[in-house]
Amino acid sequence: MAQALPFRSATCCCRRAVKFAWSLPAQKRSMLSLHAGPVERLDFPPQLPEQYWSQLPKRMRPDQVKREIKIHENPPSEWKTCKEPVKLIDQQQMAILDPTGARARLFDPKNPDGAKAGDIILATFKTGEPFSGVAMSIKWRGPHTSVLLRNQLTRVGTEMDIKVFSPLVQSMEVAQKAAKRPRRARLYFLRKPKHDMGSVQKIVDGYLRQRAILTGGSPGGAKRQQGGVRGGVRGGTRRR
Amino acid sequence: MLNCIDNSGAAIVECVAVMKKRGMRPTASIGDRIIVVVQKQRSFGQEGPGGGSLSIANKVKRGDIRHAVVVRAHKEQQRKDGSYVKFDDNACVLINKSGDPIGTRLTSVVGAELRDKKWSKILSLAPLHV
Repeated sequence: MAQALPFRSATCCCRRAVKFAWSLPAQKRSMLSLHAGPVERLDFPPQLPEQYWSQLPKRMRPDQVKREIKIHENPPSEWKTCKEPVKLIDQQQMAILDPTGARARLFDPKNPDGAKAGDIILATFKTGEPFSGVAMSIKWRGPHTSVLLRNQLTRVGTEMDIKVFSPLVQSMEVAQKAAKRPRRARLYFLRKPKHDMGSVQKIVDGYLRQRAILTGGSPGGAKRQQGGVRGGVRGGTRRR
Repeated sequence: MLNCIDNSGAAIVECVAVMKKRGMRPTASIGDRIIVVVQKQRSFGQEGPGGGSLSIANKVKRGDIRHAVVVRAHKEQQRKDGSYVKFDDNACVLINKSGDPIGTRLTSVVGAELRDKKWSKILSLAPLHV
């Protein structure tokens, strides 16, 4: 009996406390409120023994020093050493492909005697047979300069776009200049039947004959070329 | 529609299939083997319209389905040295199933790409190759 009384009084106190708590108007009851308030930051104890260091985060360990951030210098500017690399490489390539500069002079747009659109051009190759035709267009692109030749072979229009500075091209000659300066840079209208020049074989053969007479000394070479140009019929059969 | 440039008797043929090419729309270039239908026959001079001599001269007839090799193409084609070659028309040569040409003579220029594709029999018949 002696124990019952304090129990009852305790429950009574508890009930009253709860009632009191509920009666409080604005106060919120939450677990957070227990821990609210500024937390004071504690310093680590001085001379913390080394065996406890592993429990600390790395950045807080006493032996931690600030990482040094290395600042690299900018790499040297390529642009300052070589301002126009494409031009440089073009020059190097031209020096290899056209050491004498004769081909470049022939296809120089400023050269009045150079090859122009409308001229009849004869190109001979180191491999294969020569090709001649009217220059329909010349594309000036440095070492990639090309000329579009059109001819009629066995009455079939044939066009060939030849790279002027290709190492396979043995020679490029103007067989006949255009009678009148064309007013266009690209003579694509020559494809139309109305303007088609037909075969230029006769003109080229005449030019080769004249050249053989003028040079005199080398009729054999010219003759061989001529034969090759004229047919390919003969050249082809001979090869086979 | 292609021109046929040999003396097999076909003048104009129609391409119906390109061999050994895949895709939505396979395209043939010089040296490719195609299947064609003969659309127009070549007439030989005076006895052309006459029935008997024509059928003897012509090895193929209108409506025949044959194999052929493209020898000229209107589309420009790049060579290994960077140059381009283009012809004004599309043309082919009829061959049989084993790859020998049906005709015995070619009338006009053919592309030199045939050499790379091992059509030397056609090249040897051609008057000129570019």
